[in-house]
Amino acid sequence: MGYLIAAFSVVWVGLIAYLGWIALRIRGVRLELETTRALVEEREAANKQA
Amino acid sequence: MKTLDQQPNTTTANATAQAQRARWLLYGEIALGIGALILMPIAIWAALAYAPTDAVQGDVQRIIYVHVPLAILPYVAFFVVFVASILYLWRNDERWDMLAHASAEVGVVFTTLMLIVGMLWGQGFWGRPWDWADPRLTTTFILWLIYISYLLLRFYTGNSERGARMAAVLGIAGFIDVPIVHFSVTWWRSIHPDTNYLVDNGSSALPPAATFALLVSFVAFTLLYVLLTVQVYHSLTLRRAALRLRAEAEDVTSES
Repeated sequence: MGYLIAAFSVVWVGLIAYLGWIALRIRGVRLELETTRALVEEREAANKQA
Repeated sequence: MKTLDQQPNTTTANATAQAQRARWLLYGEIALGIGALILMPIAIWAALAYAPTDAVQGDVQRIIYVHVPLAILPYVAFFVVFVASILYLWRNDERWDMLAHASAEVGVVFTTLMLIVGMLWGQGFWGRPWDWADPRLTTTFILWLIYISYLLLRFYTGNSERGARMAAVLGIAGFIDVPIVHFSVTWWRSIHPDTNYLVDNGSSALPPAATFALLVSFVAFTLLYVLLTVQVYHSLTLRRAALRLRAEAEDVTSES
């Protein structure tokens, strides 16, 4: 019974942890994308003014 | 070295189109997530309570309800890597490359979990977690090493086109081990149960309740595989969009 509980725990904790890690990765990259997009727009606006 | 993020078609319109695709991916992820959330508790219940206890192995046999789907889905994942790698080399479309990368990552996670769960089953039934003389175990370990190498190659070569091409070649060549893993139990003497344990003359060799538990678990894990692959693909598309925008920001700076 101990091996059964260990097996199911490893699988579900592992998969949930992996899902959470991917979600964090997506959030991090999305934040980076927004920051860079704002930077591009800011620089394009500055170029037009110049 | 020319990198994928430095290809000439780097415009803000491209980034907007990618954002729209990302939105559709998000809807798909939500639908898959709901499906997996509904099926997962049913799969756990069926495996732990509904399926009958095996007369020979006892409760430890219930591990097969997670072990078998986790063993079959890496075949699917690495087949996707194989096909997507061929299409990437043929079409030179980076979406195939990202699909191969995403599927390899999820395939490695599933293979890792399958090996751990298999070792727990082995310890519970055979009295030892591993046997290096067993062809199924050894070829599966080699399969795991091949795709770990694939991911390490991707990590160390970054977003370079050369790295993507080298990974595609490895993704195609590495698939050779999949049929070897599958047929190892019939080609060589093995202590690992073969497919006759599950299928006999085209129908299930298990009792109906056990067949139901295995099928529900397989569908639930398949939804999870698709969900995870779509999520990793999503993260890779966003990462490349960010790299392109950064290159564009550098271009704007150099123009001024």
